[in-house]
Amino acid sequence: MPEHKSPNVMTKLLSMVHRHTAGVPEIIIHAEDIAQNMVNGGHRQRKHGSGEYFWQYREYDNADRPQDIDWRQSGKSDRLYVRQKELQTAQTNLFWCQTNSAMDFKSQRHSLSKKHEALILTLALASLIKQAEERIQPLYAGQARSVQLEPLAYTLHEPNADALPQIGKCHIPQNANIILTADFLSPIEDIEQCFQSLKHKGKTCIIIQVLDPAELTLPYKGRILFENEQALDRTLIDNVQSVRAEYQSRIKKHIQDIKDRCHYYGFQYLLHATDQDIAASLLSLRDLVSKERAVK
Amino acid sequence: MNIMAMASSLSFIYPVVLGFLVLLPVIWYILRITPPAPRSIIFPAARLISGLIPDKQSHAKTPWWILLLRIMIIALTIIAMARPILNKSNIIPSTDGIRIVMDNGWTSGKIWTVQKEKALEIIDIAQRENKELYILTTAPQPGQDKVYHKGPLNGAEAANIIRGLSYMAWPADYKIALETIKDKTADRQPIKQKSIHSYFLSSGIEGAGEQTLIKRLQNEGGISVLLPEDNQLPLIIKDSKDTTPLASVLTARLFRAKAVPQTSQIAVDAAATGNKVIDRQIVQFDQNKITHEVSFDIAPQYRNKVQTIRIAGQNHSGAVLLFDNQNKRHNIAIIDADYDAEQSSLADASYYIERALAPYNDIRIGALDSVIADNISTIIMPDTGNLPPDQLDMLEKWIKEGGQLIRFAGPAMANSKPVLVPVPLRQGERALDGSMTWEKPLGIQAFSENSPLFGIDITEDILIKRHLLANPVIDISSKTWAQLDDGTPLITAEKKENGMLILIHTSAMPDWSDLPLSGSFVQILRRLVSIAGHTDAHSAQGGNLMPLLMLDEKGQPARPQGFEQPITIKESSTIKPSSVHPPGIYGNGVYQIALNLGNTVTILEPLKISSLSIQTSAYDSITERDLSLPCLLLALSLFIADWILMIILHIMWRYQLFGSARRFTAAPSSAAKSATKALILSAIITGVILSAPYATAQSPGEAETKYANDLYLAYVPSGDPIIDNIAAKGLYTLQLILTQRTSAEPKDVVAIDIENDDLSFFPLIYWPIDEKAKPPSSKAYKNIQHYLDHGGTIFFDTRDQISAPTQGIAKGKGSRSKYLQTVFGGLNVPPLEPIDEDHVLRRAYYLLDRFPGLYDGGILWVESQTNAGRDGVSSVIIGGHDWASAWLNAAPSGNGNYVVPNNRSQELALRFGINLMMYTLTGNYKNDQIHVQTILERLGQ
Repeated sequence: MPEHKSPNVMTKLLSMVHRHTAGVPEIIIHAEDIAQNMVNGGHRQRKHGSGEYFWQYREYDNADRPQDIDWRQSGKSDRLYVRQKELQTAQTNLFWCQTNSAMDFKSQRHSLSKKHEALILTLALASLIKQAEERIQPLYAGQARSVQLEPLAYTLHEPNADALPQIGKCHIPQNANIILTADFLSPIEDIEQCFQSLKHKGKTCIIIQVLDPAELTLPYKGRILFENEQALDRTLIDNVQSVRAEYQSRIKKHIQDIKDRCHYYGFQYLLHATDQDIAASLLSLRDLVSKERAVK
Repeated sequence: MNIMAMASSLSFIYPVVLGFLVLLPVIWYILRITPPAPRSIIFPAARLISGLIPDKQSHAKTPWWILLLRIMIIALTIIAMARPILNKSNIIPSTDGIRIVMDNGWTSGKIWTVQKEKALEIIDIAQRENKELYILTTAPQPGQDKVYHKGPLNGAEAANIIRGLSYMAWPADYKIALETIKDKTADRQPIKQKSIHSYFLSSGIEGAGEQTLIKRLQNEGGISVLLPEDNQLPLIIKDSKDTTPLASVLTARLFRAKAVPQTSQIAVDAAATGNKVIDRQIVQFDQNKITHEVSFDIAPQYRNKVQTIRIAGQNHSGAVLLFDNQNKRHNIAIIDADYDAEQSSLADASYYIERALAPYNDIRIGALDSVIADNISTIIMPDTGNLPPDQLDMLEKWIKEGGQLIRFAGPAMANSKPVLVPVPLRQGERALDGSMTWEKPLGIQAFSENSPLFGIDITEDILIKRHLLANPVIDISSKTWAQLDDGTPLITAEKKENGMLILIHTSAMPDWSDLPLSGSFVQILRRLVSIAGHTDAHSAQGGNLMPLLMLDEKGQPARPQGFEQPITIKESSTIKPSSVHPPGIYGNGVYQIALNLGNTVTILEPLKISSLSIQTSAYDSITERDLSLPCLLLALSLFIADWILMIILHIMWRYQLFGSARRFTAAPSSAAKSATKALILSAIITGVILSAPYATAQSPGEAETKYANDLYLAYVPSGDPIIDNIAAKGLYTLQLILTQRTSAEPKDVVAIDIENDDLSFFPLIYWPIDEKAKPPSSKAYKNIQHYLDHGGTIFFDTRDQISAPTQGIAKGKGSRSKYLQTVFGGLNVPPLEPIDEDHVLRRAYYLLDRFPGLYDGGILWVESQTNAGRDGVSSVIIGGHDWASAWLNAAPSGNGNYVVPNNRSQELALRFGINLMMYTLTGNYKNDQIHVQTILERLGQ
């Protein structure tokens, strides 16, 4: 690679970045907006600065710094005490969001695509967690470190062909919480495998399934050729309305299967349809997260 | 044509193909059960759909209007395959062959294109029926005595021949055509007698042997005769019997075949070489007459240039009257060995002769040796005494070859022994005014009817003082062309073989008589010159006249093509135009005759078909139209509409996925509407494509801008043709004089329609008032007011200075003033006042103290000077001097264009016209000039 990229190449790269990240700032604002509304919603926040909680008094020994001596406590007796605070290692939250072309689907012109909804929801949650002074970090292969909301947004937004996260390749730190946002329309075996590897790493997860209402109800009529992006599944249905009921039962069963697996592995599960209110879903998510924390 | 009529006139060439139309319901059914192309939807949950079994009973249906569209496409294609034809001609008779008889004599000139079209149409049909084709023409080929006959031919060959055929300048010869048929059939007889149906495309004029030919053709397998409408029959023109060569009025007679009421007018042109029209007469046949006389009063100097009189728009040689050199300029020689052009004087006889003849003829003056040449038709010899014998021989030989010698008497002849004279002469002259005689000078008797000079007016005050007396001989009276009051011959003439010898018994100078000073002298000489070679023509033996100028089939003068044969002088009066002698001018160096087709036709007889079994029909204006192409075009445009619809629907399904799809299925009417629109659009497109060849191009902008690029003089027509004519011609004279004298060069004179025309292009409008004219409409008032308000000037001429002197607009009692008051009642015109002494109109170009037209003494009314908003130009000028008439009086005669006023009043009228034009064009520019003197003085200080 040449040391100095020609301006042309740079421009190209930049424009590519911009094209891919177009709308990310809006998504962030949208997400923070929702999160902020949630904060200002009068919900109790028990935070008084991290690591401020008193933990114990310990007798001073030579390894301790003199500044750490708590003189008031020491004055009550002849021994020197050191005031120790609660060890606070912030929890790392790993986020993953499905961004392949399947997520671009939207059945109504004016509605948001699944990807859009998923990103907003994920980032809003990330924003909430960030406000709680916890670490947020994308769940992707590579160097794992805590990031701010904005870089997270950009990373999540990048298109990725995966329908499910490749858990094996990722470095998952201890004590991490994993949040997966996807449509989970892959075969249930694949999902099972993914869940299993997550569980194998001993992590707790929150599964957010984002679906378009059309995927839930199949509202079409007439003769329609259904195909997915890779054109792997092409199905010509002459009379869509006649299979609607059967489809609905199939999708319900699929969702139920996922729910069952989550229950089995102890994951939290949330279904978000794109016609639902994001804020409502976020509220449920927050409850799920705090429940998760409470469990710890 | 209504639908029913169209339906009845519609027929199919391959009606069997229409049987496929019964398959349409089947196709409908198939199309109906064939589902439309599925909408394709990218659906992430497609995996879950795979394996779902839909309900087979309820198929998706193609919408009915798409079905209808497609069925129409198929139906139209089937119909087009069946070759529908509108106005299909009658079924060709079931004979072995078809013969097209093209009547191509000169009588076909007017309908030739119709004939050709019809012939091509018949060929087209015959080709369809796989018939052999034969083509027969009726007029002999140029230079031959055979007609064109060809066959059997296929359709393409026959069409090519027909396209190349032309009608001839001579009459059809049906006898030859009949002979040709007989020969051909005789050849074929041994093999097989074929029956041939003939289409006789007749010109509608009966010719000799035509009926026989028709009967013969009928016997060969039937005949259909096509006759033109009455208004398609040709007209012919003949010269008038009593046209004298020097009469100032040219007369011709028009003939027509049928005395039918005639709607359109006929233009008859007197044209010079190169078809330059010198004069045009618009004539109309009287209701029940087949002949009409037309006369042209043409100024003498132009009359000589008239080469033809032709009926406009006839396109055949029978409608053209050619003039030979009897009406042409002649080459004349005057024998005067001492002649010097620089020093010619009133004492030279040749001076008077030259002055008399020069305007109308080409004259050479010189010694006999130098002037005698082939193309001299007349030699004039002023008073000469004895001639050398060799010159006498030369002259005599020349006369006998056809020349004409005009001799004048005189002192020299009186004192010599006269030879080469028509009558024996007495020695010495007879003096009538000498001091030693009682006799008084004598006048000239009116010319007798036998004299070639008959018709020339003799001015009464011509007195012959001296002349040579003829010896009375037996035949002297027959040789005398003019005599004095006492009966003694003044002009005698004698035929000498082909030539003529003429003696005028007095001199060509005023010493012997007043004759050379009179106008009659000019007329007599011109008449004599014009009959050179003519008087003798009838008695002359032998002598060929070569074709000089031929009339082609369209009646246009053309060079001889080479097939034309010369005619002899002897037969020249009786010969009729034919394929070897086309109409035209034949002649030798001296003498020319015009062989005019019209003169040889005694009467135009319309062709009458007597036999009832012969089918006749008119050349139909309704022609066949093959509708297969329009049908295919319509099918194609419907196909395109279908295609566009599919694209639109696909786009709708693809990109407005769920909601609009639902809307679409819920309310198909909007889609149906768009489909209907597409249908209408395609119908319109087809209609435009079909009607395009029949539409006439119109450029609406042209009429408006026609007068924008040049200066035009305009007048308001009153409706009275006389007044309008005076206005138009008067303004034309004004136009000429403006061009002649000023830098304003008007292009033309325009009669404007005050109601509809855009007047803004005309700086001045001349309005001759006619009390009988209709008052202007409100629209016209609006137009005029707009014109006046925006800088225009109208010049009202009440033309009634004599009958009702202009008293002012309000006070005028004359009926025209009343009319003017009516006009002004509807207009907003500023106050008027009589023109004052300092008005710029008085000095816009000339300095004028009065403004005479045909009349003088009236007041000219103009706008008050206070109204200075228009550069001082009055919007209205009113007077009553009838200026247009005055201008017209100054108009140049004939079609010359140099204006020379005849008297002072005409000159003043023209000057007023120029001033008026300058005034309207330049405004108060000349008013400023008044101060030039002062300004210059100030500058000098």
